[in-house]
Amino acid sequence: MRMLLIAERLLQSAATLLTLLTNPLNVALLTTQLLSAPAIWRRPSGLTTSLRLLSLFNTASRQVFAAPHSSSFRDVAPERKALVNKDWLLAVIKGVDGKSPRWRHVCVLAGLRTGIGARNTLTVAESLHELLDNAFVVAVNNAMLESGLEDDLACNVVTLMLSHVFDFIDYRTKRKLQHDLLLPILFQSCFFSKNCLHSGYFLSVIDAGVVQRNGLTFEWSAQSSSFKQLQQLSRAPLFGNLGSISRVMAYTVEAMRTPGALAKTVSDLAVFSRCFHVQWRQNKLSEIDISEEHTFLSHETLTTSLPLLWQTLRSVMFALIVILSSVLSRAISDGRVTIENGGFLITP
Amino acid sequence: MQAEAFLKDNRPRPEGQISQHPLDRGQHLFFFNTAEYLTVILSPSCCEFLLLPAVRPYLGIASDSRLSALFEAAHSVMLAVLSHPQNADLLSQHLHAYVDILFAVFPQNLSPRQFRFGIKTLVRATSPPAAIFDRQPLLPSTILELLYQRIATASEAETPCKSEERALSISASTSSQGEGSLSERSILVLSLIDSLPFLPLDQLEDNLPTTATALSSISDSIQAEVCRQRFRDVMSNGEMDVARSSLCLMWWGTLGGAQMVNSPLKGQNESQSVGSVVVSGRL
Repeated sequence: MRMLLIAERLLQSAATLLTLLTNPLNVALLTTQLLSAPAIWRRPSGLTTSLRLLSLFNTASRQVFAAPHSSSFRDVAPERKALVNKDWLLAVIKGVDGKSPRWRHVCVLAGLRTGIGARNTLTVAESLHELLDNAFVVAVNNAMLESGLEDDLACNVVTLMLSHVFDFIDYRTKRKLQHDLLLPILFQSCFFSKNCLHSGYFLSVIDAGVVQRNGLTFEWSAQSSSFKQLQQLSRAPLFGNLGSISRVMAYTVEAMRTPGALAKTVSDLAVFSRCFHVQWRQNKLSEIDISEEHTFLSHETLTTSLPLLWQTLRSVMFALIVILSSVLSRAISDGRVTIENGGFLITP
Repeated sequence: MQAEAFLKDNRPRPEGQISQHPLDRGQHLFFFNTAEYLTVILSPSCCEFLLLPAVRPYLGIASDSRLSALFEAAHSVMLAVLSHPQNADLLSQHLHAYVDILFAVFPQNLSPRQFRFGIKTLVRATSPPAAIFDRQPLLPSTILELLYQRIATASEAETPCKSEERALSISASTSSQGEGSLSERSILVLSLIDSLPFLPLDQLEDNLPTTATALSSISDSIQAEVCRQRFRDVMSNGEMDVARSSLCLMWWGTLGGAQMVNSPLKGQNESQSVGSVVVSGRL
């Protein structure tokens, strides 16, 4: 607990200092320290920490690049000459060096990119946008090469950061991403990882929570642990971004130069859907036809717990549809991808 | 073939029964909806041994609102299979049974529009230029004969019309006005009339007078007028091709067809027969 408080205080003071430091070397040093400090990174949920880092650099870059006439606390101390925007940015990027795991670099750069915002803002030069885009893409590629599929946290962080930044990146720079590495990572983070859908394991847990009350009525209480678990899932950062992650996956499927990873993704999709289907089928709730819901379910179930479940299922369905439609369009339009004996065949 | 392999993998299990689990029923619905589109490329043996057994339990189900989507999908698959030219043998084998099923489920579970469409499709599938016509030229007449027999015993009560069908018939441009309030007999007569454009010429010639007689057996004059209007539409609005139109014209004018159609039965209200466009020589 004390560790958590220390870490939080560290992050807050770092946030203040970042924008006020005048020496670029100090900015770089602070960034390096933020990326490697054990006090910050030994916290249990690495995903929350990386999100915290994202928002930290987001706020910082927003303040640095704020329009001159808007009041920011940088103007409070006019005697200190605050760093010019571009110098500050370069200093931060210099601080992102090899001493810390590469997936953490992605957080910093994502924060910077989202803080600077879309391209048509007048305050920021085009060259800076391009610089950041390139830096981000390079960081993502390096992170993927370094961690691979085994490091669950790294995969989740890369996926999450990419979903936040993806719409800002220029299409030419997007092509430089290593799509073959990216697609399996994205898929695993969304559908198999414990921090998101976990192959639909929550459905089996829910089944235990549905109990039979008097006579024919079934109840799934909103106080039950399975419902709380579902609520946690719906609030999880990866699940909340499922829509944008599925769009990133759709883009990756269509942009891959060698469609080698496509076959694996399709089989992963099949594995996931089978798993999900089996678990849903074993769940008591699936045996109740929609027209019979009012007869068999309690009022609390109908108004509170069941709607959340349907919402979750619907999000999963839409995400799968987005991915599948791009797979289908790739299969139809690309001459190298054929389907033989029920499987994808890629001719070189 | 891949389509056949796909359908074999996904066919409803258990065979020949309606599943109790809603999830399975959803999968069966997907199977039917997909199979409907694939009938064009499937072989006749695949249709016979894969699709028809899967569809059979759902064709005659009693009214169960949970199963209505499956019911309609099953009938669509059946019609798609039967109307495809390469399934001519299947058609001759199953036609009688299917028409019996149609009569059994109408009017409780099948809407008027669906019934008329079914009969029309079957008549079109058995008439030239379908290949089966060369081997069994009497099939269209057989269907119409079954209709006549049914008309003789059909009730004149208003059919229980589902509300969605009513909404659909209001918005559809080709349906006659007030279709939702027609009796069973009127709808059977309307199906007769719908089938006329597809009949071969000699059978058309035979069936025009008998259709007119059936029309005159409707006792409610408003409904009879609806049917008459439909009869006139079918003959004049281009649904019939050139040869059939000239035959109809001859029947209407020279052979007294107009008189047969427009003259009401003794029981009908004479003042209701307005709108007859041809000068009738009725007494």
